[in-house]
Amino acid sequence: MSNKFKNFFNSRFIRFFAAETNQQKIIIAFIVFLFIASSLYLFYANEREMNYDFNKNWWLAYFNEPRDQSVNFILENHSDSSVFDYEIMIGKNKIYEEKIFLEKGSFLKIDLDKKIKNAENEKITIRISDKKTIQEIYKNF
Amino acid sequence: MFEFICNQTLFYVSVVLTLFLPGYFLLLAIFGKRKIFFSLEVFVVSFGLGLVCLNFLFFLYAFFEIPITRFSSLAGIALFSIACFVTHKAREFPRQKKANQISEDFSFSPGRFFLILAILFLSFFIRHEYLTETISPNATDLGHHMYWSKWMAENHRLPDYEGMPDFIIGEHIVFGVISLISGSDFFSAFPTVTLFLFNLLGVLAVFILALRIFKNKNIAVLALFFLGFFYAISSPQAKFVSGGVVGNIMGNFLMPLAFYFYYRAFSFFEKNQSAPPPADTKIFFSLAIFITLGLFYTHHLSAFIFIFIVFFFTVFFFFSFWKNFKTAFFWFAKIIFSRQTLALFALGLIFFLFILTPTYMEEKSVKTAMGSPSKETRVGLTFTNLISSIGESRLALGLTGLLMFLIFLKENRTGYILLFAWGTAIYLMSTKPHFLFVDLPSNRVGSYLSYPLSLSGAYALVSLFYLAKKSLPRFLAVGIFFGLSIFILSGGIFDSAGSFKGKSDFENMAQTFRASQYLAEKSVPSDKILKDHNYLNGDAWIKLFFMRGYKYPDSRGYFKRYEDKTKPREMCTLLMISFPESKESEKCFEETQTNFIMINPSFDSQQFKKSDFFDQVYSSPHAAIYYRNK
Repeated sequence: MSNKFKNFFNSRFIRFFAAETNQQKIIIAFIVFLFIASSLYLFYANEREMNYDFNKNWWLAYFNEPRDQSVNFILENHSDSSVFDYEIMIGKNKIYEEKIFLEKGSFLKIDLDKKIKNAENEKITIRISDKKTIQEIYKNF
Repeated sequence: MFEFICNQTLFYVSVVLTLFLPGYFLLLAIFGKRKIFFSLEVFVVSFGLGLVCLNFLFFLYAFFEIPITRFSSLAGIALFSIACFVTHKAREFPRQKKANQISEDFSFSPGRFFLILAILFLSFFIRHEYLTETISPNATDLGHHMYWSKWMAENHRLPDYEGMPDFIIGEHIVFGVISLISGSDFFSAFPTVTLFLFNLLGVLAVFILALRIFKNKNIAVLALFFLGFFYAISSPQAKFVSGGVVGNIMGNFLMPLAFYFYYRAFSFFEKNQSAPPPADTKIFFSLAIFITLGLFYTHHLSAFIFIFIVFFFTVFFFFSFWKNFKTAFFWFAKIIFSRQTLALFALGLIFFLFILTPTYMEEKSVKTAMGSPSKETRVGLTFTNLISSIGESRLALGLTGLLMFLIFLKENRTGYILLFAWGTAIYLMSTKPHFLFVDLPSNRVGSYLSYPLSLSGAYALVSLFYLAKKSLPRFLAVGIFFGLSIFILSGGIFDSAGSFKGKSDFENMAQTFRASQYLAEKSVPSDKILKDHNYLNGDAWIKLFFMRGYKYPDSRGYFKRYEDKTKPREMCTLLMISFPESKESEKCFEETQTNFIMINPSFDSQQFKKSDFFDQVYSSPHAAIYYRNK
């Protein structure tokens, strides 16, 4: 076994790589290679993790205009669900409901301003569900 | 894919342009093609010098009010490099007497050579594995630092830090310039990868320092093993890289590099003290000063520790050379008062006083760092703390090594004196701060100890093995060596294994970022936003979406900070989230004009739901936004 090791280290191939004149350059080249290989993967991994859809399962809803009277909202899907139900409540009364289909990685703008009238001094709530979780956004008028 | 490859290529090109080229050409201008350095030394040293040159170049930009853009950055680096190259061509360098004048310190036997490659591979591999799990930009410190780098890239000038003394310009220039040249996004992996590079360069700097000091390749290879592979995750290594402890990582690169030049300047004392120092001594010393200046512009804690090490070194040096004190002092003074050194001191002084004074150069900062320890966290580490910070085996061997250096103190070994001073100064600063009137967090100081202890530990292990080999039967010596190796291996590997904290929560972070993006689009600079630091993941990065000031948006800090009686602070940020309907809160809302609040709804939504004054305008499982409609 030890002879085999000796032969291995004395082989021409190994001697070329371990020749003193080349050693430093090989070490540097090896460091550069490892750094590039490692960092390439890190960049790739980061880009993947920064993707809202990759290996993630969540969805969100928000008003298109947060501060005015508009109740138009956007549903954004980064989950495995693709069927959503939403209902609109004025105060405690449900006035409208609808089922929507939304693929992962897409969003949908839902225009409600025309559908809602006479909501003064009331709270308008939009309750959205994907059958597993419920989320709501609301405005107090 | 094509875009990804282009971005990567641009990033690597910009790293070479900003960090390597200026340093390489500076070395060329100073030494020409003389074989003063080995290729590996040129590689490591160029990055260090390049970093310092880059900083000084942009200090001049700030002074002459030159806008920092992609073009001006490239032009400045190119002009500097060309100037160095022209100097190299114009100068006549003394001819080397022999082509092979250099010693054999850097040539390795085939077995050792492959061992080095294996250690390097493992050093990369273990860090890579850890960073892959934590790569996303959610570390608090990194977020704070990247704000300033982004500010610099967007505003085309150096940041003024809004009067805050905690930030130092050297920590941010390199990231700002790389981003400008390569176009890399601050939310990409480039900040972490750049820190990863500095961490590895720090390890390599220790390796070349060990090769020079010990002239024993076994010790140097072992030091590389101790620092590169063992405890590669724990502070101050991969954990600090992923955590974005920029100053510490850069400090742990520049400090060994400065010691490398100081050692090369003073190593002639080891040979013949009566003969005049070699011609290059003064240049080495000047380069050491140059790197030191760079360190002072990069990190205050590292610089502060460095001052203590230099003080200890000076004391031990003259103690060691007591018999030849006169001669030693004469040559010491001759080097310090040489043309080259004085020119560098003058340059440093001009930059410090007239061009750019570091933000921490205030009486208040000195008072903060000096004096009797003011907090429990500053009274010094216990031995148990040290063990958990450095690792049992490395600490035991490292302290043994330091004791061995103490024995050799009278033998005029400049390198050993340097390592002894390095280890002892940090050891005392972290365990007995009151002896030295140091008032700094002891664990932060203690994290610096792993570098000198890796060197002294490697020295101790090899020396003990040689000693055992000489005085004991061979089988016993080999047995002791293997016993010690297993003790060290188990300690080092268990430490790294225990440090893997599992994959970061990328989904929560994504939700914080998406909410921030929404707010950045829908709000205007006059809006006042308050977010929570306790439960929002990656919240330190929120400010990078707005770029409306370092303290924008306001933040509800850790709860314990509001209870700290020694540091009374404003309570509004706490009250406006925790008790939004209280009377005090009402007053706070009026005073601060806060109208948007971002929280994690799993913890903080109920108090807002009850109120008629808040609209929930954005909802996701881990980030919600409320708008105050009153």
